[in-house]
Amino acid sequence: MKWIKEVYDLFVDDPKLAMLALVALAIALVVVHVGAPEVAGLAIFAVVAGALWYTTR
Amino acid sequence: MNWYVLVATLLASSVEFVEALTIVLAVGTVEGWRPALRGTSLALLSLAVLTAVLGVGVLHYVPINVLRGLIGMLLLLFGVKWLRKAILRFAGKTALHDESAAYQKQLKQLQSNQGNTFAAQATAFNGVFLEGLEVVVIVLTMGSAAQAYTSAIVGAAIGFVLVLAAGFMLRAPLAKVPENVMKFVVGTMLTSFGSFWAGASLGVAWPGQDLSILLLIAGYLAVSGLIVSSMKRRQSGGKVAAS
Repeated sequence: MKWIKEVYDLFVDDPKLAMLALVALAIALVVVHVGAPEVAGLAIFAVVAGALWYTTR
Repeated sequence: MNWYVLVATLLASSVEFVEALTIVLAVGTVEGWRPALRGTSLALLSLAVLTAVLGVGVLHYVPINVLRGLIGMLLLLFGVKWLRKAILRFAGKTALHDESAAYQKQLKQLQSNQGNTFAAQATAFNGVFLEGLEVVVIVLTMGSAAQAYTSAIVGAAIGFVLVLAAGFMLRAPLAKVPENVMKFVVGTMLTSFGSFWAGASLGVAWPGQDLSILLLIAGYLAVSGLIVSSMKRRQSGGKVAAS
């Protein structure tokens, strides 16, 4: 089971930030399905930037 | 040749190779070069097998759009992890990574266990395998998502040769490599690539296609710079208020 922890640590050191990055993608998916794929990228950028600010403040 | 991928893998792999080299140099200095090189060779062999199995398996069985989505997500997680660390380091919240200090720490640990060649070999193996694993992740993800394996492998190979040549010439930890700045740049690039590929697989219409990657890099750099300067301002404001 130690290798699972190693793989997890490879991608995540702040679970809150990782979760918010995934939320950014989920929001983008919703925005695409609502019919605005051209602003979905902006949503990813804004949420990830906000998550970086939030987890380092 | 995909230059975005080449530059990103060159920078990212160089950072990891510098860290691995520090450990191998420490093992070689304390226990001699035989266990250091044996540990390194075993780690490289294990990584080669892992890369071949993962690379071939993934490319043959997973459709490219699913692969891009998954890889984009992993790159985004990988990138924000690096970027957050870099922001905290540049804002003075955590210590900047110092390769000389890491080398001294490793030397001390090895000296306390001197004479145990198996432990020395295992230390070299662990260092090279773990740092190398990050290189494998970067090369596999960037190479497969952009369908630019050659660029990714060439980038990592150039990084490997440069770091190895510098280490061989200096025979000392590469403290002068601007590792912290490189980590900042790489964190920004990985976050941008991750956002782009994960978004594209979800159906995001990026303006100007690949040109958006440059916009994302500029945007994340600007945001990170703003966060660092606001954190520094707050810290100096706090110090003035306390005095």
